[in-house]
Amino acid sequence: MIIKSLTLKNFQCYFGDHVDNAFYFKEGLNLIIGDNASGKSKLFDAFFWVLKDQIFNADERVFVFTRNYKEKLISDKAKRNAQVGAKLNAEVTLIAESSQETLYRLTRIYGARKLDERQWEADSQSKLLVDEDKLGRWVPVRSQLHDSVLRRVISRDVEPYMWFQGEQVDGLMDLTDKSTLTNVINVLSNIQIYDELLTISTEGRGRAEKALRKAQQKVTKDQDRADSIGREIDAITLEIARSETDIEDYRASLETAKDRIEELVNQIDDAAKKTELKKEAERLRAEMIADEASLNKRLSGIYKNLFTKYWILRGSQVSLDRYSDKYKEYFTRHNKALAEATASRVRELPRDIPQPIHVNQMLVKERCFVCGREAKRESEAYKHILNLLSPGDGRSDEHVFANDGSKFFQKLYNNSLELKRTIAGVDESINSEFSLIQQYRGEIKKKENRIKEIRGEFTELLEDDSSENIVSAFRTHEANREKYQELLNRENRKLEAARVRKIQKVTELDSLVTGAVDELARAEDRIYADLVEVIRSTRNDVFDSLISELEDTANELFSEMTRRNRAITGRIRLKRMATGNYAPEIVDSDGYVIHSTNDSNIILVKLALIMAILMSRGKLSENYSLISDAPTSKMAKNYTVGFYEALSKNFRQSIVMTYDFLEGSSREEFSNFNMGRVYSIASEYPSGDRMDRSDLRVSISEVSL
Amino acid sequence: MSKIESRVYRINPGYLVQYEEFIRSHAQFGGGSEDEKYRQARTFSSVYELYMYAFFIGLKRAARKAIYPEDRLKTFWEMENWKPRDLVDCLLACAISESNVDMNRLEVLGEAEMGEELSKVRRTIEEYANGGIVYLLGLFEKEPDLVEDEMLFIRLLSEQD
Amino acid sequence: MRCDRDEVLKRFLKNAELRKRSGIPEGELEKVSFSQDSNNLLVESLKAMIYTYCGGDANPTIQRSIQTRIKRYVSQR
Repeated sequence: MIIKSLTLKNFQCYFGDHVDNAFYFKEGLNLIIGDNASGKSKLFDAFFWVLKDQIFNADERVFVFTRNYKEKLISDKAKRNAQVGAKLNAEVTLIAESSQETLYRLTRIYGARKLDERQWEADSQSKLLVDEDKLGRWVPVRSQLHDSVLRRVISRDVEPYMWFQGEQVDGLMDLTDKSTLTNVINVLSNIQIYDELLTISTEGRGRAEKALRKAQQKVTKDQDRADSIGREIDAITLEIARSETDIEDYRASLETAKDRIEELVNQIDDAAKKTELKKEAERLRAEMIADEASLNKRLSGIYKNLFTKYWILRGSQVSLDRYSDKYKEYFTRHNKALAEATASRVRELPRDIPQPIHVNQMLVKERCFVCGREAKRESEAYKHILNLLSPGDGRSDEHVFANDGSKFFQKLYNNSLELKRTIAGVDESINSEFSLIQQYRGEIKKKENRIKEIRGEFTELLEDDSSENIVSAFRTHEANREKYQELLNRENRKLEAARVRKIQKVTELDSLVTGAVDELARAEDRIYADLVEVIRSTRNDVFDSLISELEDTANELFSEMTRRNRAITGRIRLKRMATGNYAPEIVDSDGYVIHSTNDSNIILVKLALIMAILMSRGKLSENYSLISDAPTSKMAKNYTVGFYEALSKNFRQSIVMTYDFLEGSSREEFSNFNMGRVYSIASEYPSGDRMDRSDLRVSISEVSL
Repeated sequence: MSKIESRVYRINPGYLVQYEEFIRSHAQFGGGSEDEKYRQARTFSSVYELYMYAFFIGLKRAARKAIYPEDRLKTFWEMENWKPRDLVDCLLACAISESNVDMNRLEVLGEAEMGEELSKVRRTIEEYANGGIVYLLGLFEKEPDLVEDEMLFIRLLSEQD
Repeated sequence: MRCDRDEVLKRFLKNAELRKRSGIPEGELEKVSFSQDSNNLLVESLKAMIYTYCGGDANPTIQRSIQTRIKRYVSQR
């Protein structure tokens, strides 16, 4: 709804009746300009009080319920003027118009009775009246419907972002505040839907898994074993769930430690040195990741070498030699048998050719003993010598032996000869692979150490210009970072091992299955597993796209707001924390975080984000009014105009209390903005005594542009 | 291919059923399963690879396990399917040399008797392979943390005798 | 209505994980709607889930609708 007017009666410093303290608003940017202590904040309080029945206690900086604030709510001047015994009321009336052009009037009343000059008996609670304009007359709205009207004036979910005071801006975008920003993002993106679907499908998956196991156990050949495996699987599943929870916790703690370190590091003044060290650390880390990948690749392939490089044969030479001997014996006897059995077909080796046993020697030595020449393996000479051993010229000796194994046994023999050299070289092959792996490990270790050194250098830089507390805090967080990284690594390994064990058990269970498992149970198990992953992934998609949308809008706004002042650079980024929450940061073109001690940059960023959030679902900036008290209080002068311009362009209605534009001349800027109404207020002490609080009232005048 | 050759390659050696768990935790079974969840990294990508390794370790350590008729063995695949062939041939050569099979006598035997003689080869393979498994199991029992050692199997090979 | 079921379905259809697990290519996936059967069990189960959820039904009803869909599919094969 759009706010049409706010009138006050004896509300805090606003002495007088509604007609004396009236503000009328239009669409566009509405300003209430006043110096400090002019009543601006009390005006913000009035909006708040009507809607929420709470008052901001400036001394203690908390919101209190009306019943606890009591008669302080009522104008001092009015209280002084009242007779003893009289009842006084403080009232605030807000009139708002819905998109259907229905007018609603909300009035909150709180009273107290004067007992004596100093004592008041305040009401136990305030009263809210809600009326609806029906054909020009105010008609009361039933109390059950009050809440629905209130909710249309300001949306509960984003209330902190639409109605805020300047000093709250920091807190709204606070790193350590887990809930606010994430809650808002949740609301804006309907992420709840996906969370609920995820819960539903996860439940279904648990049930389907159990059902499948039951179905498997039905057709199992060993019921007892299947039952026991089923129980083991349950135990491991529990273990896995516990590990996953622990990992989440460790990750969160690790991120927190890293963030704290980052914060502290950013307090170091030597910017150049800092950036240099940071960049080196980043580079080393990237290299380490690549090295680890290479190392893992080598390690995962290493077992293949057992077979592709014949490592498995190491130590088998003795046996193979024994085979050679056995083969030679066999061969001699085999030939003898041949010779004896087929006298007419005795093969005669040419006279000047050595006996087979010598031929073997020649092959091993790779040298012809006859002519003394080299006969390297694969050479023609070698092949020639090899041929001398072959049983022959194709003539079949079938009827000599029932099963002639000579070709086969020779194949085995030749094979082992050929591999002899390879086997001899296995040691070296293994060693060279090991040393390569050691090399990778060494490189990684070296880089790890250098990164540790860099951290040490940061500590030194920190020590040079920081207090004891900061240095000790730095050390604490460093220690935590290491601790949680260790824990995380260990837990991840445990989780992996548990997962492997679960799969083994499931495989075992499967192997016991003899019959056909109920197909329905199988299908359900599979589909639910798929559903869970798909929903989880889609949920992340939704989130990511919203974040990116917010970043884009915020950056557009940011440029708009800073175009008058080139000094601010950088891009807004929403960083996802391990806890699942988001925190804003400004980064340079390399993606490095810019931390300046200049507060106004940060405030501007946060305001840009707040506005981006409210604009992301057009409805919010269209249907609700942004109300803010001194939003630019922490901002440098030159940025404020940019902020107001962005506000006037992007919000249907905004109402801002500010001390900007106190000088008439500065109001020239307004001519380009989409303006509502502008008021100027000041505190007044009619009797002239500015120390007399009970004389205080506010003077209001409209400014024409 | 000669009869002896084809009979030898058809040898289907087995492991004692009590070692099933050990086999399953270090070797990947089958390749036909569509479900991704069964494809997990194991040291050996097939059972026969693990078996060959066990054989050579058994050989190296002279760990030969006696197998009795009442023992129950589980087979998995005929040796003709094992790869690479030249490694299998080395294994066979070692098995033949360590067994007391009479190569010459083989050549003159009838079918049935040949089968019996060749079973000595199979038995030798089984004794060394299962012996190797026993040896490995013994290591893990003494030092359970060894399962974490990624290089264990390779280091075992390169250790001095 | 808890939510707009067509909007929610559209969101899911853009998801890479769904593409991977259903085996349906991007162009085809876009065309999926509540009015036509896609003949893909995963997609149909997802549709059943979204339909009943957005219709405001409770958890047990939603689970049942998914299970019914799966049962029908399995028995048809």
